[in-house]
Amino acid sequence: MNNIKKIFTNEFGQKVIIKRFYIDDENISKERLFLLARFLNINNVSLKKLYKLNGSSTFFKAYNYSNGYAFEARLFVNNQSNFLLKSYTLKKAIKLFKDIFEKGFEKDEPLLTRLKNEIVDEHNSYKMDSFFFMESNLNLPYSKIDFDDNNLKNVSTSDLLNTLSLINKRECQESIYIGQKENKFFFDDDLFFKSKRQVLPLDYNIIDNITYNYDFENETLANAYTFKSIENMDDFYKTYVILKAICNAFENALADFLLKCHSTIRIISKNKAVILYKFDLGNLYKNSSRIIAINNEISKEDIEKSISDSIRSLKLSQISLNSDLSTAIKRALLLCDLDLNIDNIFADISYLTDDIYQKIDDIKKVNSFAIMKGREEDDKE
Amino acid sequence: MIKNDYGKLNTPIYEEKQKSGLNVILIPKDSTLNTAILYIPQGFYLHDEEINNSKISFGCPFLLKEMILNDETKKRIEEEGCKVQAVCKHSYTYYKFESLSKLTASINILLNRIRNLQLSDEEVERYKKIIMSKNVYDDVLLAKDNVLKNLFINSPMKKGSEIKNSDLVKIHLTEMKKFLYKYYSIKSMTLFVSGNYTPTAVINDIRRLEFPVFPITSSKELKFNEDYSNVCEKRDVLYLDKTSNILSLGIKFLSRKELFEKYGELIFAFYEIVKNIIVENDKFKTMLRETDSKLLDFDIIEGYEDTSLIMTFSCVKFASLSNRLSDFLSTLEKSISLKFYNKIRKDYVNRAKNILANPSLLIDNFARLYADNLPYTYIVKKVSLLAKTDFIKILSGILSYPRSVTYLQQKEE
Repeated sequence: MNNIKKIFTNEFGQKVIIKRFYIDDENISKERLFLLARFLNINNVSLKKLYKLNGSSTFFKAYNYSNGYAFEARLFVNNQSNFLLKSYTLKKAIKLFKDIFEKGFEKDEPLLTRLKNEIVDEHNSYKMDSFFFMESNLNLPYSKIDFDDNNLKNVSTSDLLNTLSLINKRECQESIYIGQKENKFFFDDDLFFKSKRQVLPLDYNIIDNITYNYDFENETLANAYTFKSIENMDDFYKTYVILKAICNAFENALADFLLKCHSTIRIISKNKAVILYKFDLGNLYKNSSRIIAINNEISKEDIEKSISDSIRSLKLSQISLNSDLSTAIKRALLLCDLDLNIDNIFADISYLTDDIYQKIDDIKKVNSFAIMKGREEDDKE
Repeated sequence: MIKNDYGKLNTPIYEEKQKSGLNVILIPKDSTLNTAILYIPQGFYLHDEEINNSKISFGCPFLLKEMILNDETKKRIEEEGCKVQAVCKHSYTYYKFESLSKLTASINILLNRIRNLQLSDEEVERYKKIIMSKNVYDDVLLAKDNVLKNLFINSPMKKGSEIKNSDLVKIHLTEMKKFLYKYYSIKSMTLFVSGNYTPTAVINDIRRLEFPVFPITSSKELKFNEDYSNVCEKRDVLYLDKTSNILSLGIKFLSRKELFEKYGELIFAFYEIVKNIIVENDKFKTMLRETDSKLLDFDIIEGYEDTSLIMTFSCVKFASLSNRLSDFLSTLEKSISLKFYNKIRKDYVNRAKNILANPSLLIDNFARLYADNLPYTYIVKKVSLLAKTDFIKILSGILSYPRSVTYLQQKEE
């Protein structure tokens, strides 16, 4: 068992405690899990009491993770300027946080029904997004859960309470603290925050390489990569720099043909990553042969040319870690996924230089996927 | 340096007007992040009819901002490990720097660019073309700008905040130079600094900065008569080739002078929370749900004497949203319970405390309110003390002011 992991910073005016459970229990349906997280955001036993505690709050989230799902709970406690109340506020907030896991929420059927309708409406608006479809079907960590609307509508209050108690029994979990350094962390010995993390295998649900669909409102191309295992922060930064350089090289090549896309990097395990490129509807389909050729022919030289821009972008992202709490949380969770030491999250990376070319050969593209508008034959029909 | 601790929020501010004319505002924070803002007291809303006998066109401050922080300058600053961005609003333009190391070199790169800006016909035309090629008209901005056009009768606010290609064409090199000389000279600038600095360290660093000193200019103030009890057009419909239904409603406030005489500084505290009082109201949420509408934008736009509040929605049927919205606004005062009001006010203050812990966020907020000559901490304190009765008094006044609505819809085939 490990203690809660800690990141010390004065930047955000608040403390955050994140507790995450890994769910691969067949008794927990994705609809129940997703709805529970959303319901706890608007209705939990500690909501009002926490608010009265210097505006403290919670946030719950469920998403795809590895071959199952993750259920994440965050507790936000605003820094208390009154020295005497400092320790009391945090202790009390943690107690109230734990109460949510024990007691859940007050029954409120009309609120639950309203939430279900809202979620189904939202689902209708984003399920036409090819990027969401790609992420979800590749089962990428942190991607939105794709659920069945009818199954979600059938989830009852008792199903949710039952799900919460099953989550509580999950042993595979971890806890992170982000905030001011305290003289003593009273919760270090608290079993609630002890982590039992096991390295989870990451499975791919390989879809057809190209999916054609008329309904999507945009198009997405994705490449899966493998590389030498990331064992320390230096490996992490260098791998990220090269992946970013691949994106830059691809985007630069597209720009020569006045084409644009939005790229996203997902490091999904110690030795795997996926890069996703999102295009406006029709752009990928109309130029598919050219774009696929560019995607297949990015050379080591093209990547090398983009390394310095990529290092610059990584250094700038280190600045954002200090100004945006959600960016810092996202990075902390990713470092936990890779089993790296999160103490170094704000580390100075000015030492990084272009001298990482040899690493380029370690990164291999292993598969590509595309989601495009309907085929020409379909157009004729 | 003069020290002030407005609001007693553990955020003292040091201010100094230097002999050169430069204003310096330092907000020390125990932080690893260093931030600075170079503030130019002029944005979209033009105050000068002429500078050195040259007429100033709408869009001139925007084009200048694009030329100053061009891709090359941005890259050079980023190579120093510093994030930089430029913002142009109605009342100001600013350049923001964020870094984990010292900012002096990065700020000097920008100052050097301003000092040596090559303003030639070819360069100006080249940048116009670059902006024109990037210009994508956004439906929400189009609707908002049309509301501004219809709310105001003579004010420069009519021009809105989106630079169209037709505006760019009119800008001439001479006026750009004169605008640069007047507003980018050291005596017009304010430098905000926040981070782990002492006042002495900041003053020493400022000595290493090479600010521009341009020839002295003379200018003729833009004068106009605006009738704040009327609008130019109450209702307008724009037909576009491709758009979803968008409704934008604007309220034209009294002149700033009159608002201040009527409500004092409370009006600025009101601006800080009115959005959340409206959008978090259950009746507002029900209205959106039942009319199948979405709030796309909520903005309070201030420029010199002019202020307006604009709400922009997407909707399925204009008539149903329009009717429900006017019902909602007419009963808004009654729907605000003391409990709800206190929650919104408390949320604001809690959020502000988090903002004040972060140099990047706090400096944005200080710069945002600087055009009103108000320190952010002072306004946070004002909000924490703003009684519901005062809020309602201002709200009922504002809801009685003249309005204009714009509908954006697709052309019928």
